[in-house]
Amino acid sequence: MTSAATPAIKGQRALLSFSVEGLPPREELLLKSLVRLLDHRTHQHWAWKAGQADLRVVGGQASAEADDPAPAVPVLAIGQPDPQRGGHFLALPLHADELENTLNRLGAMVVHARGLGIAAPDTHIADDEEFRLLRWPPAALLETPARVRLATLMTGRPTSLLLLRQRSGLAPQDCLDFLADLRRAELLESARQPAPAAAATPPVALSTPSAPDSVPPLDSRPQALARDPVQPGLLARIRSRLGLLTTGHK
Amino acid sequence: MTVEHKILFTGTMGAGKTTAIGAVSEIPPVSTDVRNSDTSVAKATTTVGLDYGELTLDNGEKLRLYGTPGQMRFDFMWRILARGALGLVILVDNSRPDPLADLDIYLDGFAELIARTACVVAVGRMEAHPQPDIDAYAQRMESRGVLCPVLPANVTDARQVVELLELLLLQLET
Repeated sequence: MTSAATPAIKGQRALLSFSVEGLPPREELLLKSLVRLLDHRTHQHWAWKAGQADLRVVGGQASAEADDPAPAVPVLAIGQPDPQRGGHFLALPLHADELENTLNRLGAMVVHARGLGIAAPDTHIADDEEFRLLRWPPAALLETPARVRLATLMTGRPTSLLLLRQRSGLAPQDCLDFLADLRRAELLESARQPAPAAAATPPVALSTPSAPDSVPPLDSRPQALARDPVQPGLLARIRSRLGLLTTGHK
Repeated sequence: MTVEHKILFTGTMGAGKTTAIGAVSEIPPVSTDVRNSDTSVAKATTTVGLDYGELTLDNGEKLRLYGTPGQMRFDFMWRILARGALGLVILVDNSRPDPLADLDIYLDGFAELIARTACVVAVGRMEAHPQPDIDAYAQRMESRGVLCPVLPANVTDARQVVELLELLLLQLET
């Protein structure tokens, strides 16, 4: 399970996030594209997120000093070459090899910091706590067919760890790791009913409150769908005809 | 009376609907292909009606596989075919000029079916055309309030078509 002492691991790679502030839109777009393109080379999996992330990338238009500084969050400055500048810095124009090296170095720092318990701890995942998957996960989280199946099982109604284990037939640790990775990537939302006083406010993500700008309002997010009922036994017959074994034993 | 069930395959012209159905159907797919008059697509024939294949289940019931016509001008047939369907496989051709816009067409055209049953989005030709990547599709679907599996697929490989159908069935279990 993911904890402060054990960073979220996807395969052998930690899942890390970065935020961007103060970069010109073109440079920001280029940075995000490069990070995606470098994903098969970087030692950690990096994903952009709004708000507090594992790494702050700041341009010349933003201060490297956060208003609400998080002590364990390193800052990578990007701007025009400046020999006087200290700290982690990349000069414009961005070069893929320099970015790769920098991400690897900073990624190692973040992972090491977590190993020392410096970063904020993750929340425990209880067996019966229900989660809603907010969007289909990035490919980096779906490296195995088993994970694709787990994600698929979460596309409908909210799912708990217990239900996921029962329905997938996968090992408990595999299910737990997957949920932890999803939560770390901020792709999970608690499906607990909000308290009446808070019912008018959007629910808060489990680990950190931020979410991508493109996320639609809560009402338009995928909700637990009332799917058409399927004739009992039909799915098993189709699976049998297709040469598939039962769920979880494919 | 024979009980019938159906699964739909939809997507743009050339996305592989006929191929996908042929990969798993127990009968040679019945297609209503005609000579393609759209010179922008390098394809001799295209489906103006629909494709049809079927599987006989162990109790004698039929699972019918329908490939919808790809062009929007036939969207009246989409609604007809969608009635009573178990789910939908959307095939997207990543080599087309704007495959995300293609996806939008089918998310819109089959919105009701997707909401009440199951859907899988399969993106083809990603080896030669890696962009947009799968995450871009996931983001697009998220922006439209759709949550379903999206993954690269080569529908000339029967195993991959079976895997797409399995993901459809998994959703129907929920």
